[in-house]
Amino acid sequence: MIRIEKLTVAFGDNEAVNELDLQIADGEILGIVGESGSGKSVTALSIMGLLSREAAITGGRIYMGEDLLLQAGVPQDKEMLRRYQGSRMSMVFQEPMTSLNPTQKVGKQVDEVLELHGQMEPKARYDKVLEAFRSVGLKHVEKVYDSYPHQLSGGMRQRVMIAMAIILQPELLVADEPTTALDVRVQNQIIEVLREINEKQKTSMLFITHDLNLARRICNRIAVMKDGHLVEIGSTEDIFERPREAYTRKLIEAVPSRVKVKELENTIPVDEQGLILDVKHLNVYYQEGSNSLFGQKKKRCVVEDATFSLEKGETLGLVGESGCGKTSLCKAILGMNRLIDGEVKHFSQRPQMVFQDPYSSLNPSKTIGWLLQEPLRAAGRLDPERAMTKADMEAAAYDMLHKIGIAEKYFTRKPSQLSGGQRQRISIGQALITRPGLVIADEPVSALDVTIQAQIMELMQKLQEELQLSYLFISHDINVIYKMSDRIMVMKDGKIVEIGEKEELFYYPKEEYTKLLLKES
Amino acid sequence: MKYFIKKLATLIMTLFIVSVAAFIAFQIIPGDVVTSILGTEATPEREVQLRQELGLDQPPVKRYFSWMVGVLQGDLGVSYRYSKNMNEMMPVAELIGDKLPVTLWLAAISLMLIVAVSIPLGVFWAKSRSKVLDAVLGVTTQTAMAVPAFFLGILVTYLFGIFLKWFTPGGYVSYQENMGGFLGYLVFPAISIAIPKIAMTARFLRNSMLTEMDADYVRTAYSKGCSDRRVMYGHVLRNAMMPVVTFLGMIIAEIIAGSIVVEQVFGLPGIGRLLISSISTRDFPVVQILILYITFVVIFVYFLVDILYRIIDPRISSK
Repeated sequence: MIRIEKLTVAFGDNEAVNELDLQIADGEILGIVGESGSGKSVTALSIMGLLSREAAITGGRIYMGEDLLLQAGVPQDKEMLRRYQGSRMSMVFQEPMTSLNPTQKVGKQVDEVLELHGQMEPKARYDKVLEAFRSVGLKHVEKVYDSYPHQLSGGMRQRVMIAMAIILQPELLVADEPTTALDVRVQNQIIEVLREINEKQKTSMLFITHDLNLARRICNRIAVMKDGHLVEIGSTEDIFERPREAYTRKLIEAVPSRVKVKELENTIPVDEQGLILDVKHLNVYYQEGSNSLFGQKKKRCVVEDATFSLEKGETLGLVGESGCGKTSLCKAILGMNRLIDGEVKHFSQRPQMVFQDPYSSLNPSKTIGWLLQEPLRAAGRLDPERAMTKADMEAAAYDMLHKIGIAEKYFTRKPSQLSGGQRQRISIGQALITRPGLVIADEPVSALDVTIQAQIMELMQKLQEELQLSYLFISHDINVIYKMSDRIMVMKDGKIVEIGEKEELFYYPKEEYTKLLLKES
Repeated sequence: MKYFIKKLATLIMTLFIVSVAAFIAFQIIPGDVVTSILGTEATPEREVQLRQELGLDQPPVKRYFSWMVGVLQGDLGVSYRYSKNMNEMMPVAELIGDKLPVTLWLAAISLMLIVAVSIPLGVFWAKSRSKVLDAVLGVTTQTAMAVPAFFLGILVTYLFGIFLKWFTPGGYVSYQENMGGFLGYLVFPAISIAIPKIAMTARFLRNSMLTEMDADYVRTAYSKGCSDRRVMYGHVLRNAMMPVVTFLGMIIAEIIAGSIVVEQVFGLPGIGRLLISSISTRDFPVVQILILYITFVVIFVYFLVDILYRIIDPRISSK
């Protein structure tokens, strides 16, 4: 249905797309996968006739059916193009936050498509917009119609964008990273909506993404692009099972990571029993300052005789009131407090910490990208063998952004532009970028509101699975602990009161204090 | 509602502070109204007598409060210098009431000119892709911005008054006599006020529009099949107007204050001229009221801008 022949697009001397040949068949979902700068978005914009003025089409043709949409050297027929845009082909963009006009009600913005392409009466148009809203799974459609973009969530905005794109049942829907800016749960819903549209309306789709896994879930065929060239094209199955090109294989292997995958994979060392941390008879002291110059400094014991261990891939929840020694214990484990005796054995080399307050724990004057790379720089300085090149660190930071569900554009932004939930995602990213085996999370969700809390916990669980992490997860909130933990450890006044499997401890608590804690919540 | 109360409280506070500041200023600056009125006829006895008549023998704090109480009751006081006839003092309210419409009409016509010309010009400029036009408009507006108002006044007088003979320089028609003639005469001073502001606003709007043109929602609009014109007027303009509205608010405040010079050049009996002559003769009751009035207008205009801003940008009211 769409035929791209030898398309070449240049920005100045820079060729973004080079002699690209591509066809999209009726009713199929074709994925274009590639890293940023591979020319995938430029291809999409060329089809839509939305290239910016700096771009020049220096070669090739694009056909839609029998109609010539675009030919190099011939100025585009804008009148004809406008008749196609929005009605026969339409586009969903990456950024639902900014892709809608902030000063217009979203209903009106969808209505505009109908107004531009049809002669329907206002009332009929209104009904049709509501119907389109319903078809993409929006609820309370009348209310949505009268909302401004800022009153809707990211997922809702993207649904509105999709409604706008499909309202005239176009033959082609171009989706440029439609889910990248959304969190995982919403991402899945949007993918479902797109799949449904494809099945019901037989709309062909061009699905552009950097994420091979995502392409695998929705596309019939996948085209792999690199540096403006088509590397390989084939059915999704072929691409994944029988990749012909080295680059494709590299991309597949790089899922989920593009960075030093081999080296970091499964290098989390454990002892014979699979332990990652073993603490025996640990006492932690706290230096009490003395006011007089020669006064004896006193040591106060804040953690007494702590003995526990943590397995690879396990989450140990640590619960207790404030002041019970939770944080002191963590600091001792991380080596931030040397006034200890007893034994702390690490089997993973690089434990990391996530802090409670995402507002104050990120340096406000640095960019997100810089912050994410900082632990890598520090690790490189400590251990020259682990030093990475600048490009590698940057790639790792970008990669981490994807993992933690933050859009790439935030790379160059400062923490002040992020919400609390997003900042906590960055903190988690900072902790994970050096691929630690053990992460100590000190009340990581306590400063967040409930929905964000759930998202962060979901993220942490997802990452745990992906990276085989062990968590020591601290919270005063017993419900949070229950949701996250495999085993639970209860602390009171510096002593470990009880350790047990989650269910067991919850339903058959042995100690009075545990019962009390459970009853309170 | 809460918003209005807050705004009102700000207005009252500001007016109070300004009134105190204006009052204190006239206690500090040199020059004495009594000697200024009596001039060469001053004798110590007459000075004391006049001082008592004007209430100037009272301590400043007391004078401030009796003045304030009067203002709050609608009594703006009497002018030291002007008198209605031999026996009657001239109330400030009457004195200003005469001249206020002149200045307000001048400001209103200027503003209408600014809005009517700068917005289409700014849009046209943003839309134009011709480099030549861009350069021409760039230089023209730069020049227009740089020329001082009095000089523009002279140029306008020369061009329209002496060369084209569209109006008679100095032939001011009072609005009580002939409203049409009055407005017709005001157009020319308004042009001199408006030209630099038109240049600034058009530039500002153009830049704002060019920035907005890169926004994602513009691409979305094109993807729907909108024409250039529709994208400009239907989507970009409103978003681009947001900073421009703030800018226009500042300009209005400037027009009110800046009309002084233009009123001189065109011989308009507005409050600008009154303000200058009252300051030089130490006619404090008049000056203080004028200062309060200008303050009020400026704050009120900002308030209107704020409301307008809320109408244009729905994101603000929900914050």
